[in-house]
Amino acid sequence: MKVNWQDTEQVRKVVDACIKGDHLNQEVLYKAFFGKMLVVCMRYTYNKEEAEDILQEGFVKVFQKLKDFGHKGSLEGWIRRIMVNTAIDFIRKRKDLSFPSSTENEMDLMADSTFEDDELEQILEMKTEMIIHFIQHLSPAYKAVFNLFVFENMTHAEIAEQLNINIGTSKSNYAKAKSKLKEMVLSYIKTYKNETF
Amino acid sequence: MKRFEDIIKEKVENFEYPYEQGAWENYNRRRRTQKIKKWGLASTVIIGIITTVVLILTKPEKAVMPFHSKQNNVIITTNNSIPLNTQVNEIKTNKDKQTQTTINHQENNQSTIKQESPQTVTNNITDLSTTMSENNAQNTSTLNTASFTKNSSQGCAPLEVQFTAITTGKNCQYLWNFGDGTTANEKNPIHLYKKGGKYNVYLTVQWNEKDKYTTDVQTIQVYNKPTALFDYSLENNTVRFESRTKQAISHKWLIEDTIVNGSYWKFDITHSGKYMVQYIVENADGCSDTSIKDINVSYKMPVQFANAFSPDNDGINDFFGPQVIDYSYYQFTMNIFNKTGKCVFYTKGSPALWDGNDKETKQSCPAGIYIYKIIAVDKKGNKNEFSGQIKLLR
Repeated sequence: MKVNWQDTEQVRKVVDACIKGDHLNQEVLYKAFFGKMLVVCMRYTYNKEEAEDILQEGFVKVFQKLKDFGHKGSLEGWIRRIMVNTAIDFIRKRKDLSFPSSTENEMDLMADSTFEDDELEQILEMKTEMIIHFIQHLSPAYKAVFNLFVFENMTHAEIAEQLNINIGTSKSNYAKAKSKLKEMVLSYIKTYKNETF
Repeated sequence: MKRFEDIIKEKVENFEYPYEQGAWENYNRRRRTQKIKKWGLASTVIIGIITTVVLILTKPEKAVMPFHSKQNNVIITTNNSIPLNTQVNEIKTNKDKQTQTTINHQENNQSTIKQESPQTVTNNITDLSTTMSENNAQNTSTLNTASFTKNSSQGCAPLEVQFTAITTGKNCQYLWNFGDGTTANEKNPIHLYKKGGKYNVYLTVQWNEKDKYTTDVQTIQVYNKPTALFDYSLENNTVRFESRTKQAISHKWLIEDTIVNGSYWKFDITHSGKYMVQYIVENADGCSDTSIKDINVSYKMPVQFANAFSPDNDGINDFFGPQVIDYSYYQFTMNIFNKTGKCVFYTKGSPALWDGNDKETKQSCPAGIYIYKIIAVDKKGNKNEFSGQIKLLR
Protein backbone atom coordinates (compact mmCIF):
# COMPACT_ATOMS: atom_id res chain seq x y z
CA MET A 1 0.00 0.00 0.00
CA LYS A 2 1.63 3.18 -1.19
CA VAL A 3 0.32 6.47 0.11
CA ASN A 4 1.13 9.88 -1.24
CA TRP A 5 0.95 11.98 1.91
CA GLN A 6 0.68 15.19 -0.11
CA ASP A 7 -2.58 14.00 -1.63
CA THR A 8 -5.37 15.08 0.73
CA GLU A 9 -7.80 12.52 -0.69
CA GLN A 10 -5.43 9.64 0.05
CA VAL A 11 -4.64 11.00 3.50
CA ARG A 12 -8.36 11.24 4.22
CA LYS A 13 -8.84 7.60 3.23
CA VAL A 14 -6.04 6.38 5.48
CA VAL A 15 -7.17 8.55 8.39
CA ASP A 16 -10.79 7.38 8.09
CA ALA A 17 -9.71 3.74 8.00
CA CYS A 18 -7.47 4.29 11.05
CA ILE A 19 -10.36 5.85 12.97
CA LYS A 20 -12.42 2.74 12.21
CA GLY A 21 -9.59 0.73 13.72
CA ASP A 22 -8.22 -0.77 10.52
CA HIS A 23 -4.95 -2.32 11.53
CA LEU A 24 -3.36 -2.29 8.10
CA ASN A 25 -3.87 1.45 7.64
CA GLN A 26 -2.65 2.16 11.15
CA GLU A 27 0.49 0.23 10.32
CA VAL A 28 0.99 2.23 7.13
CA LEU A 29 0.58 5.51 9.02
CA TYR A 30 2.90 4.40 11.82
CA LYS A 31 5.62 3.32 9.43
CA ALA A 32 5.35 6.49 7.37
CA PHE A 33 5.89 8.83 10.31
CA PHE A 34 8.11 6.66 12.49
CA GLY A 35 11.44 8.08 11.26
CA LYS A 36 10.54 11.77 11.41
CA MET A 37 8.78 11.51 14.76
CA LEU A 38 11.64 9.56 16.28
CA VAL A 39 13.86 12.54 15.46
CA VAL A 40 11.41 14.85 17.28
CA CYS A 41 11.37 12.59 20.34
CA MET A 42 15.13 12.12 20.30
CA ARG A 43 15.66 15.88 20.56
CA TYR A 44 13.79 16.06 23.85
CA THR A 45 15.34 13.04 25.52
CA TYR A 46 18.58 11.69 26.83
CA ASN A 47 18.73 8.45 24.86
CA LYS A 48 16.87 6.30 22.41
CA GLU A 49 15.03 4.30 25.08
CA GLU A 50 13.42 7.47 26.42
CA ALA A 51 12.71 8.69 22.91
CA GLU A 52 10.98 5.43 22.06
CA ASP A 53 8.88 5.67 25.23
CA ILE A 54 7.62 9.07 24.10
CA LEU A 55 7.13 7.87 20.55
CA GLN A 56 5.06 4.97 21.87
CA GLU A 57 2.90 7.19 24.05
CA GLY A 58 2.65 9.75 21.24
CA PHE A 59 1.37 7.22 18.73
CA VAL A 60 -1.16 5.89 21.23
CA LYS A 61 -2.50 9.45 21.50
CA VAL A 62 -2.36 9.93 17.73
CA PHE A 63 -4.61 6.93 17.14
CA GLN A 64 -6.93 7.93 19.99
CA LYS A 65 -7.32 11.52 18.81
CA LEU A 66 -7.27 10.95 15.07
CA LYS A 67 -11.03 11.49 14.93
CA ASP A 68 -10.44 15.08 16.04
CA PHE A 69 -7.85 15.76 13.34
CA GLY A 70 -10.45 17.23 10.97
CA HIS A 71 -7.99 17.65 8.06
CA LYS A 72 -7.16 21.23 8.93
CA GLY A 73 -3.53 21.60 8.02
CA SER A 74 -1.05 18.81 7.37
CA LEU A 75 -1.27 15.44 9.07
CA GLU A 76 2.46 15.45 9.72
CA GLY A 77 2.25 18.79 11.51
CA TRP A 78 -0.64 17.54 13.60
CA ILE A 79 1.16 14.30 14.58
CA ARG A 80 4.26 16.31 15.34
CA ARG A 81 2.38 18.61 17.72
CA ILE A 82 1.12 15.59 19.61
CA MET A 83 4.66 14.25 19.86
CA VAL A 84 5.98 17.61 21.07
CA ASN A 85 3.21 17.89 23.68
CA THR A 86 3.92 14.36 24.85
CA ALA A 87 7.60 15.23 25.10
CA ILE A 88 6.87 18.42 27.05
CA ASP A 89 4.63 16.49 29.47
CA PHE A 90 7.47 14.05 29.85
CA ILE A 91 10.14 16.66 30.59
CA ARG A 92 7.82 18.53 32.97
CA LYS A 93 7.53 15.35 35.01
CA ARG A 94 11.28 15.00 35.27
CA LYS A 95 12.61 15.76 38.68
CA ASP A 96 15.89 17.15 37.39
CA LEU A 97 14.33 19.95 35.37
CA SER A 98 15.61 23.01 37.11
CA PHE A 99 16.22 26.23 35.32
CA PRO A 100 19.28 28.16 36.39
CA SER A 101 18.70 31.88 36.16
CA SER A 102 21.52 34.22 35.38
CA THR A 103 22.24 37.90 35.43
CA GLU A 104 22.33 40.20 32.43
CA ASN A 105 26.13 40.40 32.67
CA GLU A 106 26.52 36.70 32.19
CA MET A 107 24.25 36.87 29.21
CA ASP A 108 26.51 39.38 27.54
CA LEU A 109 29.28 36.80 27.61
CA MET A 110 27.09 34.54 25.52
CA ALA A 111 27.21 36.81 22.50
CA ASP A 112 27.21 34.93 19.22
CA SER A 113 30.66 33.75 18.42
CA THR A 114 31.45 33.55 14.73
CA PHE A 115 32.65 30.59 12.76
CA GLU A 116 35.47 30.09 10.35
CA ASP A 117 34.26 29.19 6.86
CA ASP A 118 35.75 25.72 7.01
CA GLU A 119 34.14 25.10 10.38
CA LEU A 120 30.75 25.99 8.95
CA GLU A 121 31.36 23.56 6.13
CA GLN A 122 32.29 20.87 8.57
CA ILE A 123 29.09 21.36 10.55
CA LEU A 124 27.17 20.98 7.31
CA GLU A 125 29.06 17.77 6.59
CA MET A 126 28.55 16.37 10.07
CA LYS A 127 26.35 13.35 10.45
CA THR A 128 22.96 14.51 11.70
CA GLU A 129 22.85 11.62 14.17
CA MET A 130 25.83 13.21 15.87
CA ILE A 131 24.12 16.60 16.11
CA ILE A 132 21.06 14.93 17.63
CA HIS A 133 23.37 13.14 20.03
CA PHE A 134 24.83 16.47 21.14
CA ILE A 135 21.38 18.01 21.60
CA GLN A 136 20.50 15.01 23.75
CA HIS A 137 23.50 15.74 25.92
CA LEU A 138 22.36 19.25 26.80
CA SER A 139 21.02 19.48 30.33
CA PRO A 140 17.26 18.87 30.51
CA ALA A 141 16.46 22.54 31.02
CA TYR A 142 18.69 23.77 28.20
CA LYS A 143 17.39 21.07 25.94
CA ALA A 144 13.76 21.96 26.58
CA VAL A 145 14.21 25.66 25.92
CA PHE A 146 16.47 25.14 22.91
CA ASN A 147 14.04 22.72 21.30
CA LEU A 148 10.98 24.87 21.85
CA PHE A 149 12.67 28.03 20.59
CA VAL A 150 14.56 26.65 17.60
CA PHE A 151 12.45 23.74 16.40
CA GLU A 152 8.96 24.60 17.62
CA ASN A 153 9.33 28.31 16.78
CA MET A 154 7.93 29.36 20.13
CA THR A 155 8.63 32.78 21.56
CA HIS A 156 10.33 33.16 24.94
CA ALA A 157 7.00 34.35 26.35
CA GLU A 158 5.29 31.17 25.14
CA ILE A 159 8.11 28.98 26.44
CA ALA A 160 7.95 30.72 29.80
CA GLU A 161 4.25 29.98 30.03
CA GLN A 162 4.65 26.42 28.85
CA LEU A 163 7.42 25.56 31.30
CA ASN A 164 6.24 27.81 34.11
CA ILE A 165 9.40 29.90 34.29
CA ASN A 166 9.96 33.58 33.68
CA ILE A 167 10.90 35.06 30.32
CA GLY A 168 14.38 36.09 31.43
CA THR A 169 15.16 32.55 32.49
CA SER A 170 13.99 31.22 29.14
CA LYS A 171 16.23 33.70 27.33
CA SER A 172 19.30 32.97 29.40
CA ASN A 173 18.82 29.21 29.25
CA TYR A 174 18.48 29.43 25.50
CA ALA A 175 21.68 31.43 25.19
CA LYS A 176 23.54 28.97 27.38
CA ALA A 177 22.13 25.99 25.55
CA LYS A 178 23.24 27.41 22.24
CA SER A 179 26.69 28.17 23.50
CA LYS A 180 27.01 24.73 25.02
CA LEU A 181 25.92 23.05 21.81
CA LYS A 182 28.33 25.14 19.77
CA GLU A 183 31.12 24.20 22.10
CA MET A 184 30.35 20.50 21.73
CA VAL A 185 30.11 20.70 17.96
CA LEU A 186 33.32 22.70 17.65
CA SER A 187 35.34 20.46 19.91
CA TYR A 188 34.05 17.47 18.00
CA ILE A 189 35.12 18.99 14.71
CA LYS A 190 38.53 19.80 16.13
CA THR A 191 39.00 16.29 17.45
CA TYR A 192 38.15 14.85 14.08
CA LYS A 193 40.50 17.22 12.33
CA ASN A 194 43.37 15.84 14.34
CA GLU A 195 42.45 12.24 14.04
CA THR A 196 43.58 10.01 11.28
CA PHE A 197 41.24 7.18 10.50
CA MET B 1 25.79 34.21 6.80
CA LYS B 2 23.60 31.57 8.32
CA ARG B 3 23.35 31.40 12.07
CA PHE B 4 24.51 28.34 13.94
CA GLU B 5 21.04 27.43 15.17
CA ASP B 6 19.63 27.71 11.64
CA ILE B 7 22.15 25.20 10.33
CA ILE B 8 21.37 22.83 13.20
CA LYS B 9 17.64 23.18 12.60
CA GLU B 10 17.92 22.68 8.87
CA LYS B 11 20.01 19.55 9.27
CA VAL B 12 17.85 17.98 11.95
CA GLU B 13 14.54 18.85 10.25
CA ASN B 14 15.65 17.26 7.02
CA PHE B 15 16.75 14.12 8.76
CA GLU B 16 14.72 10.99 9.23
CA TYR B 17 15.65 7.75 10.93
CA PRO B 18 15.13 4.67 8.78
CA TYR B 19 12.19 2.51 9.74
CA GLU B 20 13.27 -0.13 12.20
CA GLN B 21 12.31 -3.68 11.46
CA GLY B 22 9.70 -4.81 14.00
CA ALA B 23 8.94 -1.32 15.36
CA TRP B 24 5.21 -1.60 14.59
CA GLU B 25 5.00 -5.08 16.10
CA ASN B 26 6.79 -3.74 19.12
CA TYR B 27 4.36 -0.84 19.38
CA ASN B 28 1.43 -3.26 19.51
CA ARG B 29 3.18 -5.57 21.93
CA ARG B 30 3.85 -2.74 24.36
CA ARG B 31 0.33 -1.40 23.91
CA ARG B 32 -1.09 -4.78 24.90
CA THR B 33 1.00 -4.94 28.07
CA GLN B 34 0.11 -1.35 28.97
CA LYS B 35 -3.58 -2.16 28.81
CA ILE B 36 -3.13 -5.07 31.19
CA LYS B 37 -1.06 -3.04 33.62
CA LYS B 38 -3.56 -0.19 33.73
CA TRP B 39 -5.98 -1.91 36.08
CA GLY B 40 -3.28 -3.12 38.41
CA LEU B 41 -1.85 0.37 38.51
CA ALA B 42 -5.20 2.02 39.12
CA SER B 43 -5.87 -0.06 42.21
CA THR B 44 -2.36 0.58 43.52
CA VAL B 45 -2.82 4.32 43.08
CA ILE B 46 -6.09 4.32 45.01
CA ILE B 47 -4.56 2.41 47.92
CA GLY B 48 -1.58 4.75 47.66
CA ILE B 49 -3.69 7.87 47.99
CA ILE B 50 -5.48 6.47 51.03
CA THR B 51 -2.28 5.49 52.81
CA THR B 52 -0.61 8.80 51.96
CA VAL B 53 -3.48 10.75 53.43
CA VAL B 54 -3.37 8.63 56.58
CA LEU B 55 0.39 9.00 56.92
CA ILE B 56 0.43 12.73 56.27
CA LEU B 57 -2.25 13.26 58.89
CA THR B 58 -0.26 11.34 61.44
CA LYS B 59 3.40 12.19 60.80
CA PRO B 60 3.80 15.03 58.35
CA GLU B 61 7.38 15.98 59.36
CA LYS B 62 8.81 12.75 57.96
CA ALA B 63 8.66 13.96 54.40
CA VAL B 64 11.64 16.27 54.67
CA MET B 65 15.03 14.65 54.53
CA PRO B 66 18.59 15.82 53.97
CA PHE B 67 19.95 15.87 50.45
CA HIS B 68 23.31 15.38 48.91
CA SER B 69 24.99 17.19 46.10
CA LYS B 70 26.55 15.74 43.02
CA GLN B 71 29.78 16.43 41.32
CA ASN B 72 29.62 17.71 37.81
CA ASN B 73 32.07 17.34 35.01
CA VAL B 74 33.41 20.47 33.48
CA ILE B 75 34.73 20.47 29.97
CA ILE B 76 37.72 22.61 29.33
CA THR B 77 38.86 23.01 25.80
CA THR B 78 42.61 23.41 25.55
CA ASN B 79 44.39 23.63 22.22
CA ASN B 80 44.09 21.89 18.90
CA SER B 81 46.63 19.11 19.30
CA ILE B 82 45.31 17.67 22.54
CA PRO B 83 41.63 16.98 22.02
CA LEU B 84 40.16 17.31 25.49
CA ASN B 85 40.94 16.94 29.12
CA THR B 86 38.70 15.95 31.90
CA GLN B 87 38.61 17.66 35.21
CA VAL B 88 36.32 17.05 38.04
CA ASN B 89 35.65 20.17 40.00
CA GLU B 90 33.97 20.65 43.26
CA ILE B 91 30.96 22.75 42.65
CA LYS B 92 29.02 24.85 45.03
CA THR B 93 25.55 23.67 45.57
CA ASN B 94 22.95 26.22 44.73
CA LYS B 95 19.44 26.60 45.88
CA ASP B 96 17.71 24.53 43.21
CA LYS B 97 16.87 21.36 44.95
CA GLN B 98 13.94 19.11 44.93
CA THR B 99 12.90 16.51 47.37
CA GLN B 100 10.63 13.74 46.51
CA THR B 101 8.82 11.10 48.44
CA THR B 102 7.73 7.83 47.03
CA ILE B 103 5.37 5.47 48.63
CA ASN B 104 5.75 1.78 48.13
CA HIS B 105 3.07 -0.76 48.63
CA GLN B 106 3.10 -4.30 49.67
CA GLU B 107 0.38 -6.79 49.11
CA ASN B 108 -0.66 -6.96 52.73
CA ASN B 109 -1.58 -3.27 52.56
CA GLN B 110 1.17 -2.27 54.94
CA SER B 111 3.05 0.62 53.52
CA THR B 112 6.45 2.05 54.07
CA ILE B 113 7.89 5.38 53.13
CA LYS B 114 11.05 5.34 51.09
CA GLN B 115 13.14 8.39 50.58
CA GLU B 116 14.64 8.78 47.18
CA SER B 117 17.87 10.63 47.38
CA PRO B 118 16.87 14.10 46.30
CA GLN B 119 18.68 15.23 43.26
CA THR B 120 20.33 18.49 43.25
CA VAL B 121 21.10 20.07 39.99
CA THR B 122 23.81 22.59 40.08
CA ASN B 123 24.94 24.94 37.50
CA ASN B 124 28.01 27.02 37.59
CA ILE B 125 29.66 29.10 34.98
CA THR B 126 33.41 29.38 34.93
CA ASP B 127 34.88 31.32 32.04
CA LEU B 128 33.87 29.50 28.90
CA SER B 129 32.79 26.31 30.56
CA THR B 130 29.33 25.46 31.59
CA THR B 131 28.14 22.50 33.49
CA MET B 132 25.85 19.80 32.39
CA SER B 133 24.02 17.24 34.37
CA GLU B 134 21.66 14.42 33.61
CA ASN B 135 19.34 12.50 35.83
CA ASN B 136 20.84 9.19 34.80
CA ALA B 137 23.37 8.90 37.57
CA GLN B 138 26.35 9.71 35.40
CA ASN B 139 27.20 13.21 34.45
CA THR B 140 28.00 13.26 30.83
CA SER B 141 30.35 15.30 28.81
CA THR B 142 30.43 14.33 25.23
CA LEU B 143 33.87 13.40 24.12
CA ASN B 144 35.75 12.31 27.17
CA THR B 145 33.10 10.02 28.52
CA ALA B 146 32.41 6.58 27.18
CA SER B 147 29.30 6.71 25.06
CA PHE B 148 27.90 4.60 22.28
CA THR B 149 24.96 4.15 19.98
CA LYS B 150 23.42 1.00 18.56
CA ASN B 151 21.36 0.43 15.46
CA SER B 152 18.68 -1.44 17.37
CA SER B 153 17.83 -1.89 21.01
CA GLN B 154 15.39 -4.73 20.65
CA GLY B 155 14.39 -7.44 18.27
CA CYS B 156 13.91 -11.13 17.73
CA ALA B 157 16.62 -13.71 18.15
CA PRO B 158 19.00 -14.10 16.41
CA LEU B 159 19.57 -10.34 16.59
CA GLU B 160 22.54 -8.68 14.99
CA VAL B 161 23.41 -5.33 16.52
CA GLN B 162 25.87 -2.79 15.21
CA PHE B 163 27.46 -0.85 18.07
CA THR B 164 29.16 2.45 17.44
CA ALA B 165 31.40 4.14 19.96
CA ILE B 166 30.83 7.87 19.88
CA THR B 167 33.84 8.45 22.05
CA THR B 168 36.85 9.20 19.91
CA GLY B 169 40.37 10.24 20.66
CA LYS B 170 43.95 9.28 20.09
CA ASN B 171 45.08 6.07 21.79
CA CYS B 172 41.62 5.23 23.04
CA GLN B 173 41.18 1.61 24.10
CA TYR B 174 37.71 0.14 23.75
CA LEU B 175 36.42 -2.78 25.73
CA TRP B 176 32.97 -4.08 24.97
CA ASN B 177 31.09 -6.50 27.15
CA PHE B 178 28.00 -7.64 25.29
CA GLY B 179 26.33 -9.08 28.37
CA ASP B 180 26.13 -12.61 27.02
CA GLY B 181 29.61 -13.66 28.04
CA THR B 182 31.42 -12.27 25.03
CA THR B 183 33.65 -9.23 24.66
CA ALA B 184 35.36 -7.28 21.89
CA ASN B 185 38.04 -4.63 21.48
CA GLU B 186 37.12 -3.00 18.21
CA LYS B 187 35.72 0.49 18.09
CA ASN B 188 32.52 -0.38 16.24
CA PRO B 189 31.76 -4.07 16.69
CA ILE B 190 28.85 -6.05 15.31
CA HIS B 191 27.43 -8.60 17.68
CA LEU B 192 24.99 -11.43 17.16
CA TYR B 193 22.64 -12.30 20.03
CA LYS B 194 21.55 -15.87 19.52
CA LYS B 195 19.13 -16.30 22.41
CA GLY B 196 16.32 -14.25 23.90
CA GLY B 197 16.95 -12.22 27.04
CA LYS B 198 17.77 -8.81 28.41
CA TYR B 199 21.44 -7.96 28.00
CA ASN B 200 23.39 -5.12 29.55
CA VAL B 201 26.05 -3.91 27.16
CA TYR B 202 29.05 -2.16 28.67
CA LEU B 203 31.52 -0.03 26.80
CA THR B 204 34.59 0.90 28.77
CA VAL B 205 36.92 3.42 27.18
CA GLN B 206 40.41 3.81 28.51
CA TRP B 207 42.27 7.01 27.82
CA ASN B 208 45.95 7.74 27.34
CA GLU B 209 46.62 7.49 31.02
CA LYS B 210 46.18 3.98 32.24
CA ASP B 211 44.05 4.77 35.23
CA LYS B 212 41.55 6.89 33.39
CA TYR B 213 38.53 5.11 32.05
CA THR B 214 34.79 5.55 31.91
CA THR B 215 31.93 3.21 31.15
CA ASP B 216 28.60 3.47 29.41
CA VAL B 217 25.90 0.85 29.82
CA GLN B 218 22.82 0.27 27.67
CA THR B 219 20.29 -2.50 27.43
CA ILE B 220 19.44 -4.80 24.54
CA GLN B 221 16.19 -6.74 24.66
CA VAL B 222 16.19 -9.88 22.55
CA TYR B 223 12.92 -11.77 22.18
CA ASN B 224 12.67 -15.49 21.74
CA LYS B 225 11.71 -16.78 18.36
CA PRO B 226 9.04 -19.46 17.89
CA THR B 227 9.77 -22.61 15.89
CA ALA B 228 7.40 -23.34 13.03
CA LEU B 229 6.39 -27.02 13.06
CA PHE B 230 3.48 -28.82 11.43
CA ASP B 231 2.06 -32.23 10.51
CA TYR B 232 -0.03 -33.17 7.50
CA SER B 233 -2.14 -36.05 6.24
CA LEU B 234 -3.87 -36.75 2.94
CA GLU B 235 -7.38 -38.10 2.53
CA ASN B 236 -9.64 -37.92 -0.56
CA ASN B 237 -7.58 -35.28 -2.35
CA THR B 238 -7.60 -33.10 0.79
CA VAL B 239 -4.46 -32.41 2.77
CA ARG B 240 -5.03 -31.57 6.38
CA PHE B 241 -2.29 -29.43 7.87
CA GLU B 242 -2.03 -29.10 11.61
CA SER B 243 0.23 -26.80 13.62
CA ARG B 244 2.55 -28.25 16.21
CA THR B 245 3.90 -24.87 17.31
CA LYS B 246 2.90 -23.87 20.80
CA GLN B 247 2.53 -20.32 22.10
CA ALA B 248 1.88 -18.84 18.70
CA ILE B 249 -0.69 -16.07 18.34
CA SER B 250 -0.80 -16.12 14.57
CA HIS B 251 -0.52 -18.88 11.98
CA LYS B 252 -0.29 -18.41 8.24
CA TRP B 253 -0.27 -21.10 5.58
CA LEU B 254 0.77 -20.61 2.02
CA ILE B 255 0.57 -22.97 -0.94
CA GLU B 256 0.96 -21.72 -4.50
CA ASP B 257 -0.92 -18.41 -4.30
CA THR B 258 -3.35 -19.29 -1.54
CA ILE B 259 -2.88 -17.86 1.95
CA VAL B 260 -4.99 -18.79 4.96
CA ASN B 261 -4.88 -18.11 8.70
CA GLY B 262 -5.51 -20.53 11.55
CA SER B 263 -3.85 -23.34 13.42
CA TYR B 264 -5.06 -25.92 10.89
CA TRP B 265 -5.89 -25.94 7.22
CA LYS B 266 -7.67 -28.26 4.83
CA PHE B 267 -6.23 -27.88 1.37
CA ASP B 268 -7.73 -29.52 -1.72
CA ILE B 269 -5.09 -30.79 -4.11
CA THR B 270 -5.64 -30.69 -7.87
CA HIS B 271 -2.73 -32.77 -9.11
CA SER B 272 -0.19 -35.33 -8.09
CA GLY B 273 3.34 -34.30 -7.27
CA LYS B 274 5.16 -31.78 -5.16
CA TYR B 275 3.51 -28.94 -3.30
CA MET B 276 5.61 -26.33 -1.54
CA VAL B 277 4.03 -25.43 1.80
CA GLN B 278 5.08 -22.40 3.79
CA TYR B 279 3.97 -22.20 7.38
CA ILE B 280 4.57 -18.93 9.22
CA VAL B 281 4.00 -18.51 12.96
CA GLU B 282 4.22 -15.41 15.11
CA ASN B 283 4.38 -15.31 18.91
CA ALA B 284 3.16 -12.66 21.35
CA ASP B 285 6.52 -10.90 21.17
CA GLY B 286 6.01 -10.34 17.47
CA CYS B 287 8.74 -12.77 16.49
CA SER B 288 8.08 -15.12 13.63
CA ASP B 289 9.45 -18.27 12.08
CA THR B 290 8.79 -19.96 8.76
CA SER B 291 8.87 -23.63 7.90
CA ILE B 292 9.00 -24.58 4.24
CA LYS B 293 8.27 -28.16 3.28
CA ASP B 294 7.81 -29.93 -0.04
CA ILE B 295 5.06 -32.48 0.25
CA ASN B 296 4.58 -35.26 -2.28
CA VAL B 297 0.98 -36.29 -2.83
CA SER B 298 -0.85 -38.37 -5.40
CA TYR B 299 -4.10 -37.10 -6.75
CA LYS B 300 -7.07 -39.41 -7.18
CA MET B 301 -9.34 -38.36 -10.04
CA PRO B 302 -13.01 -38.05 -9.23
CA VAL B 303 -13.98 -40.68 -11.83
CA GLN B 304 -16.72 -43.24 -11.18
CA PHE B 305 -17.86 -46.42 -12.87
CA ALA B 306 -21.09 -48.35 -12.95
CA ASN B 307 -20.95 -52.12 -12.40
CA ALA B 308 -23.60 -53.01 -14.98
CA PHE B 309 -25.24 -51.64 -18.17
CA SER B 310 -27.99 -52.63 -20.59
CA PRO B 311 -27.33 -51.61 -24.24
CA ASP B 312 -30.90 -51.90 -25.56
CA ASN B 313 -31.35 -48.36 -26.86
CA ASP B 314 -34.03 -47.51 -24.33
CA GLY B 315 -32.13 -44.45 -23.21
CA ILE B 316 -31.33 -45.89 -19.80
CA ASN B 317 -27.83 -47.25 -19.12
CA ASP B 318 -27.19 -47.93 -22.80
CA PHE B 319 -23.48 -47.20 -22.57
CA PHE B 320 -20.60 -48.06 -20.31
CA GLY B 321 -17.79 -45.60 -19.61
CA PRO B 322 -16.12 -43.48 -16.97
CA GLN B 323 -18.58 -41.07 -15.30
CA VAL B 324 -17.22 -37.59 -14.81
CA ILE B 325 -18.67 -34.13 -14.38
CA ASP B 326 -16.88 -32.61 -17.36
CA TYR B 327 -15.78 -34.88 -20.22
CA SER B 328 -13.80 -32.13 -21.88
CA TYR B 329 -11.42 -32.12 -18.93
CA TYR B 330 -10.20 -35.68 -19.66
CA GLN B 331 -8.70 -37.87 -22.32
CA PHE B 332 -9.43 -41.57 -21.94
CA THR B 333 -7.92 -44.70 -23.41
CA MET B 334 -10.41 -47.51 -22.82
CA ASN B 335 -10.07 -51.26 -23.55
CA ILE B 336 -12.79 -53.83 -22.90
CA PHE B 337 -11.91 -57.52 -22.73
CA ASN B 338 -14.17 -60.54 -22.68
CA LYS B 339 -13.75 -63.54 -20.36
CA THR B 340 -11.23 -65.19 -22.70
CA GLY B 341 -9.07 -62.09 -22.69
CA LYS B 342 -9.95 -60.96 -26.21
CA CYS B 343 -10.28 -57.25 -26.71
CA VAL B 344 -13.80 -56.54 -27.94
CA PHE B 345 -13.78 -52.76 -27.75
CA TYR B 346 -11.28 -49.92 -27.58
CA THR B 347 -11.49 -46.15 -27.85
CA LYS B 348 -9.28 -43.13 -27.44
CA GLY B 349 -10.52 -39.67 -26.58
CA SER B 350 -13.46 -38.25 -24.75
CA PRO B 351 -16.14 -39.21 -24.00
CA ALA B 352 -15.27 -42.93 -23.82
CA LEU B 353 -18.41 -44.95 -24.15
CA TRP B 354 -18.97 -48.61 -25.07
CA ASP B 355 -22.26 -49.43 -26.79
CA GLY B 356 -22.06 -53.17 -26.03
CA ASN B 357 -20.95 -54.11 -29.59
CA ASP B 358 -17.79 -55.80 -30.74
CA LYS B 359 -15.76 -53.06 -32.37
CA GLU B 360 -14.50 -55.22 -35.27
CA THR B 361 -17.47 -57.43 -36.08
CA LYS B 362 -20.08 -54.75 -35.21
CA GLN B 363 -22.08 -57.60 -33.63
CA SER B 364 -23.74 -57.29 -30.22
CA CYS B 365 -21.65 -58.81 -27.49
CA PRO B 366 -23.43 -61.45 -25.43
CA ALA B 367 -24.54 -60.77 -21.89
CA GLY B 368 -21.97 -61.56 -19.24
CA ILE B 369 -18.98 -60.18 -17.32
CA TYR B 370 -16.40 -58.03 -19.13
CA ILE B 371 -13.20 -56.42 -17.89
CA TYR B 372 -12.29 -52.75 -18.46
CA LYS B 373 -8.91 -51.08 -18.40
CA ILE B 374 -8.99 -47.30 -18.65
CA ILE B 375 -6.19 -44.75 -18.58
CA ALA B 376 -7.37 -41.23 -17.84
CA VAL B 377 -5.33 -38.07 -18.38
CA ASP B 378 -6.76 -34.72 -17.30
CA LYS B 379 -5.92 -31.22 -18.44
CA LYS B 380 -3.51 -30.75 -15.56
CA GLY B 381 -1.52 -33.71 -16.83
CA ASN B 382 -2.61 -36.08 -14.06
CA LYS B 383 -2.70 -39.71 -15.16
CA ASN B 384 -4.76 -42.39 -13.39
CA GLU B 385 -5.37 -46.02 -14.32
CA PHE B 386 -8.64 -47.75 -13.59
CA SER B 387 -9.64 -51.37 -14.09
CA GLY B 388 -12.57 -53.49 -13.00
CA GLN B 389 -15.49 -55.67 -14.02
CA ILE B 390 -18.66 -54.67 -15.83
CA LYS B 391 -21.79 -56.78 -16.23
CA LEU B 392 -23.48 -56.58 -19.63
CA LEU B 393 -27.21 -57.17 -19.33
CA ARG B 394 -29.46 -58.16 -22.25
